[in-house]
Amino acid sequence: MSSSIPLIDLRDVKKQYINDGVATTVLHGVSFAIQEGEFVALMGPSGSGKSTLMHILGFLDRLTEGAYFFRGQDVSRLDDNALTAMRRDQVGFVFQAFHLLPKSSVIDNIMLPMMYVGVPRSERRKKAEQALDSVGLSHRTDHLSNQLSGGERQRVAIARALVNNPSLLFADEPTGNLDSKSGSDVLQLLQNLHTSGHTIIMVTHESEAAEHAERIIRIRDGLLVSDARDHARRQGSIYNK
Amino acid sequence: MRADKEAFIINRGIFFVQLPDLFMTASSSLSRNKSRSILTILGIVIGIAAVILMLSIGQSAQGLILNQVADLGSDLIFIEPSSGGDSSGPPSAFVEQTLKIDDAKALERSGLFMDVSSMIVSSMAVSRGEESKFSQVTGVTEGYLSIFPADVAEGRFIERSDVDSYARVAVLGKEIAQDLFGDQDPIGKEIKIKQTTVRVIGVLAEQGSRFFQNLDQRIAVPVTTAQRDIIGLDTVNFIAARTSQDIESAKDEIRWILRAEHDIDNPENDVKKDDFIVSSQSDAVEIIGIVGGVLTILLSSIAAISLVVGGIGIMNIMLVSVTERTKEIGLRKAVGATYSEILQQFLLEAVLLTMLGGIIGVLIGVITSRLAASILASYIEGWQSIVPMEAVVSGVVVATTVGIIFGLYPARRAAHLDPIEALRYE
Repeated sequence: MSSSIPLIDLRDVKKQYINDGVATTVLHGVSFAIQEGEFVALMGPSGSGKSTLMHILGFLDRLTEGAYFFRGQDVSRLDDNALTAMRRDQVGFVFQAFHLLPKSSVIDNIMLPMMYVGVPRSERRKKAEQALDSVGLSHRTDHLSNQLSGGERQRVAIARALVNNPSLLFADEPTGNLDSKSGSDVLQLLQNLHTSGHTIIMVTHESEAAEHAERIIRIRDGLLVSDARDHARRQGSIYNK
Repeated sequence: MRADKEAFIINRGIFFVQLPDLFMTASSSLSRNKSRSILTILGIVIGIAAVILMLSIGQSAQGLILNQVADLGSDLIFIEPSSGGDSSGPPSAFVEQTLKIDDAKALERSGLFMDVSSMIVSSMAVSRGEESKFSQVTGVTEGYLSIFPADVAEGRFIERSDVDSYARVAVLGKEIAQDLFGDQDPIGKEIKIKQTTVRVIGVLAEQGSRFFQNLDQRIAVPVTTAQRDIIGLDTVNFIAARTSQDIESAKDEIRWILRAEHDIDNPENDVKKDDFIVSSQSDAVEIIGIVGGVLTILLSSIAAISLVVGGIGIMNIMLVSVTERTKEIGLRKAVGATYSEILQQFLLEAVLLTMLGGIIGVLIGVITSRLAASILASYIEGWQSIVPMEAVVSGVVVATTVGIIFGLYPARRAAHLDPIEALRYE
């Protein structure tokens, strides 16, 4: 492990929701660190807290207790605008349901995040085309997003997530809505992105999908139950915390 | 901590750097829902168009009357009977007739007035053989034409001797002459006004209408003949006079003379004690101005109501739009749209809608105003098309303001959405 500051450093993170006066604790104290360039799968059954954890990691939600250091800086108590700026400048999201704007063209969908970063208009199309090329869909540039197949939509969504060169790519069940062929294409694409240096955190409950990652963090009932690296898995020994 | 936060917010220059982006986003989302957008702004379009049309017609009518008043000259003074008391309120048909020909003669004798004419007016049947028409029969004196200028086309007008001798003569307006005589020359021929036979001595040239009355359908007879032989009254409806002196002092002179004539003891010059009213053209102009002002206030309040109704429609549709586009909002927030960027986007959509409504409303209002004016001009001589510029400008400004006011609530709803909830929304 390198001595440099980790990209993500979670320390005893707890998350509590209060609904109608009833408090529900979703995360009971989770700690781990992720280095730049890692491809991590976040696994756990539904209700385990893995989505909440991803939302906190992706600056969509706040933790209740504990600390979250991003590149060594405490981001646990940022206000809404600061969190928004973190999402805008540091992360790209890929969702299970793609979330493309249905009546907009592929290229317009990919250009959308650049509007909020303030990329000059003249540069946007070129950058978007590069991103689209990197997911192998150059021929779909001016199609409407709802004319694409599921696998193509998810690749467009990945291009959109990459277009601002984020430090970190989140994929939330990226294969959940895809057939197995399209799903493995998408996973292969993520793996290629990882190889070319991207840091990826993928939330999934499918073991096959998780196999593509080099590290698997398992969550159950709001607690981290295992954190295993590639070589450890290959050797058949699972490191339990 | 503060410094930390600031370090994470990349400096993006000023607030409105993204205005073209917001504009494109808003306009493209509106054009994706064309028919809905059009229906939504219909209320504002109709409201603004109707107000411009009504203001235009109102101002044109006002302008027409003011022009006619000005044509008569500012040195003209009217005396009408009055029951005394409060002189405001509508003119009553049952006012006691107090003015006599002698009053006009007294004014003449004073030497203060250039022209004095007493008049009695009554609408009655006029016939020649089988041909019968209703006409406004006006008893006048020889001074009538200098009060209400008109050209004599044929024959002559009523003279002093006709008035003094109760002559049974008549001067016809152009149209009534044609109605009764067709192509024949009416001069010297006889017509019957009610049961009285009078001889036509003249025909006036075409005059058109004044204060929405067709002057060419009128018949003038000597006021004395009208009183004794035709109408059967010894009073007159009004007296008109022209003066070369200051209008207000001339009006006072008239009051003192008529009070003497009518034996009214009124040393304190209280006009409420008089049995007559003296008014000048400037009084008429003032009244027209007041009527115009009331009309404008009335129309403005109707406009305000229709714009509030239109604004509620906008708000309603914007709320629907926010709900429909919950996922889009969630996505935009996830990729880094701030509260104020979402707020601006939806506010701009509402403002674009209402501004468009305002512009279309103004265009329709101006076009229909011109159309209405050209139709009215063919019926009413001297009708001019007036499109009030202030209504055009305020139409667009007010519509835009309505967009801001009624777009704010839906835009805030959109901007407040939680990205996680919004992305999960089904």
